[in-house]
Amino acid sequence: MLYLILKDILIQKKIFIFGIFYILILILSFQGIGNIMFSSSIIAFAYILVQSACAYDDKSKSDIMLNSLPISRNTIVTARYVSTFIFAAIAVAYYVILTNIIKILGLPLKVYPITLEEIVAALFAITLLSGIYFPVFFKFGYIKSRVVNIVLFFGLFFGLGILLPQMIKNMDKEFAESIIRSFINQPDILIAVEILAVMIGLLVISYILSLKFYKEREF
Amino acid sequence: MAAILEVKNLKKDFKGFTLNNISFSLERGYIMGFIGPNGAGKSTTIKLIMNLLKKDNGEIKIFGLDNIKHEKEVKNKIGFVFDENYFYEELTVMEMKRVIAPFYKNWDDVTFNKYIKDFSLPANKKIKDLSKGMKMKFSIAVALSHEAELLIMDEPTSGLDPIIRSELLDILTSLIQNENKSVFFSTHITSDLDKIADYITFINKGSIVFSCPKDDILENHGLVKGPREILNDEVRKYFIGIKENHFGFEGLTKDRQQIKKMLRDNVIIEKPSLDDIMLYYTKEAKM
Repeated sequence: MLYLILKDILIQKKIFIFGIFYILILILSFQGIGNIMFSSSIIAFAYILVQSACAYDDKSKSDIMLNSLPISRNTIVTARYVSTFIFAAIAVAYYVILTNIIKILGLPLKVYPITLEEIVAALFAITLLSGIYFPVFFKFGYIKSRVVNIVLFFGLFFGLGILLPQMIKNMDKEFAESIIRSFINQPDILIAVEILAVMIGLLVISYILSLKFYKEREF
Repeated sequence: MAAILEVKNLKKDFKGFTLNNISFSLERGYIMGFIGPNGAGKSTTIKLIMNLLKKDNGEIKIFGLDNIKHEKEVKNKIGFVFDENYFYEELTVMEMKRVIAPFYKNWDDVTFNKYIKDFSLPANKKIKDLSKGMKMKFSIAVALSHEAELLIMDEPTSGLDPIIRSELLDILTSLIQNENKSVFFSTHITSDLDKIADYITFINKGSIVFSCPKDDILENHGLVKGPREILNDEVRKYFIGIKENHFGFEGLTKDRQQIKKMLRDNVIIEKPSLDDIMLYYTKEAKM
């Protein structure tokens, strides 16, 4: 499995170099927006890597080659999920290094430290995106799943940025407050556990679906 | 000893095409040519063997093991070469090897490097920059570097020039010196098989026409030429197909001895090539 991930990294060498500039640009463009800088950078970068890995596989019709090697389809599916988080980790490393360089050089740029909430938010968004995307990808392949992909990607930013605040605004005030209150009253650790549980649940369902779809795929 | 590859009543239904309960088997130490016109079901059969397609019915055994239940074990000992390049174009020859090698239990770097050298493959060139012949040679180098016992090739010679094709045939011939190994080789360029195949399996429209030793096929079949007058219903029964014109006829028979007995000196009987055989059988199916 490690070698499948290595393959994903090797075929995307260029994107990894380009990624440094990409995150730099995100840091620049999120000036003044605040903490969301970190999570947006990580989500966007990890998701781009996942997408382009899938695209390269599709372009090389590598399903045929990989499935002719002594690799089980389980391994191929698992590698995709694991690589998502490895890509996220790489993105975090880039972000940390870049923001530190900016600080050390004393450049006139605002950088925001990484908080626990930010990490949880980024992980949650990545899980959500890939959790929904992968079963579709394994069922239909890259080209056909592109529509879903675009809807998801913009949906996430659109949803978080515009719809969600609107929804909260329009919600019955008391109801909204009661939800928020119930969250606030909970200890942080409990909230973290809840989010983690939702994430794991989503991943497990998504993984089982992906496996089922990919095992039925014909090439 | 058990057959190295055994296909029994294999069935696969597509829209507009059915692979119809095909059966054949290949022993260790031989090369089997798998011939048929385009769209006859050659690639479908190979994909079913590799479990890239799901069979509807039937049995496939490789090394005596079910190809799906023992998928990993079986694939460890199969070398595959496909007609198209399915490697990552962006990677170099060595990078691609680095990705593939760890999956094989018996990968042998020494052998691989020897082939790279023999084939003069540029180790650090990207796969997309290799010529078609070079890509095929790279596939072969990969297929031969993990002690594979069964080599499965789907149209490996299509689109290659005669020099590289003949090189490939030499490689296969030397490979088969090891009596433990076999080659299953699909092609529509039958002249390649005239040279190296021991067995021929002929598929047309999803059904096996015959699967037997090449020498038997070439000996029993006869390309018959003669005047039209001698063609009567009794004689016609012994022909797979007949082409007639003003001057006479030319036809393919399955039973050369019988025709010789019946028509004696009235006709000339020649040894057909595999091409002739394929042509007559597919034409007959069309009529």
